Amino acid sequence: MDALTGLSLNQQVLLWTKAMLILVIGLLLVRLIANALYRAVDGFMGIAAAVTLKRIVIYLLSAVVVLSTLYQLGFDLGVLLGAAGILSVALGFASQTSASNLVSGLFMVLEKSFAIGDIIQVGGTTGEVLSIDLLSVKVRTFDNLYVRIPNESLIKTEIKNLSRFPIRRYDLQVGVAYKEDLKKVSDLLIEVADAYDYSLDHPRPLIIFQGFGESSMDLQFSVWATRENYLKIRNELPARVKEAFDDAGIEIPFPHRTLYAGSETTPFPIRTE
Amino acid sequence: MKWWGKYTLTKNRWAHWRVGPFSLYAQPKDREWHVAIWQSSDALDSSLLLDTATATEPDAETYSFSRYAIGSSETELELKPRLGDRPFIVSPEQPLFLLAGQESVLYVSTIVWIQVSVADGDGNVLLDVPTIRRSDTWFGDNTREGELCYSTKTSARTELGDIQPRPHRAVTPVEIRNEGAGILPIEQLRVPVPALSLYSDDNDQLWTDAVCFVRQEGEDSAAMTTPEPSAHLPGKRTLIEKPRVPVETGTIVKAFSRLLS
Repeated sequence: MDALTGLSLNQQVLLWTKAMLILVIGLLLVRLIANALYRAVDGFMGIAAAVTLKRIVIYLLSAVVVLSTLYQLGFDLGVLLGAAGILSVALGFASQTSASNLVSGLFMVLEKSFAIGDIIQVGGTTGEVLSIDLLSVKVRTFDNLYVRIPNESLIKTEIKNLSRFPIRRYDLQVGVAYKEDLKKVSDLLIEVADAYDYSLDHPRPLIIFQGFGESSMDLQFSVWATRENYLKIRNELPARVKEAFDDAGIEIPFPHRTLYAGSETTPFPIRTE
Repeated sequence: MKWWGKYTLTKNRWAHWRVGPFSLYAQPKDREWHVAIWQSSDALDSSLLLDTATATEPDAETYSFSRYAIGSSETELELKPRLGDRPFIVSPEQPLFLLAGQESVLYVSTIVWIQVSVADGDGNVLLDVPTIRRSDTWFGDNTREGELCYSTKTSARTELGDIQPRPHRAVTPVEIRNEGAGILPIEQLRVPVPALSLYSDDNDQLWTDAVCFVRQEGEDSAAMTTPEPSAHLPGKRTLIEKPRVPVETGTIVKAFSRLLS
């Protein structure tokens, strides 16, 4: 500010005008440069990375413009830099979490585990990625809730990307009574899948024997579908299986309990009133 | 009998077409069209019916109805066959093998799409649907990379005379050359129908360009070429439709995905 003292009013006005012009034009140029950079890189870096880079460029160049403006007005930047040094130490301690989120976010963007528009499952949250920001990822759940997930927790958590691949497998757990013929059941399930238009012919449907359960023989019936038809197949296939079982007389049993007293028991007495 | 072409209809009166398993009703009204369609599940249905002023009406329980608002009161409709919008994975009904050093031509057929448009000069398309609902299938080395296709079975005739004419199917001559040392099991063929042209012959049977797959020694992919349209096609042909998506010849296309594993 020493530069301002001893100047006439006209000279001060001129100085301020010059400083304001530097500020305004500088900030405009910063915007232009950032937008041009974004357009140049979003094709090969992806939208999320390009947005992050654009913001970093805006913050850095804006800081340079503001410092230039202050210098033009005669501020001693040395004092500012000294204060900034002390401030950054304080901020450093205070923003450890934010810095961790920031770094985690950069690594996540570079890793490309998911992109804007993908459906991800993180812990108990499943939804569409709305944005991948510096500190967090914003997700819209299917019941239309807005969820903010810090990048730091994402980088150390298992993330399931439900929309990365074009096809998905639906696994239906089905149990049949012990009296049923497993081969007949398997053949019937394959027929159901082949007759259903939305199940893919290839990869072929799969039947995996899970075990002899307490009340039933347990099978896993796996059918492939396109990502878009997954919900449809999840709702319609069980109904078709049930219908086919009913038509073929195949029983899906309720849980059974057999009371065995160690020897053949006489019938239980029952009294009704 | 040729079912495609332009038809002049009567306002407020249904017209009916039956092309194999596909049934179409259309009725022009003032500035709108009413359309009803139904697809049976019988892939071998060879019905053919053209009635531009039918007394019957589409059954409300069975047919899917649509209305199309349009600026003109045009009563001329155009029906056109088109090839599918995805490749077809064709599987022979019985196991088929090609011996080493041999070549063969198989005639496989795939269903066609029907494009229904108003012949008003603007070519307003009302429908572009398959004549029968087809199953989806995945074609690729793994479940991460590949493409979505339609699947169908074929008798894979080797003689032209054995081909069953069907109005809703187009025949593709597939030439296969086994230049490898071992027997080639032909379990699946990827027929790239969006890249083929559609023709009709003198008997109004639909045909496509021929395709040729060559399996080289030690390779599991085949270079696909499209030979001259006259290759393996009978007599005179009339071009109906150019390819939906042109493909350059010599493109390496995985045509024999699983059969060489």
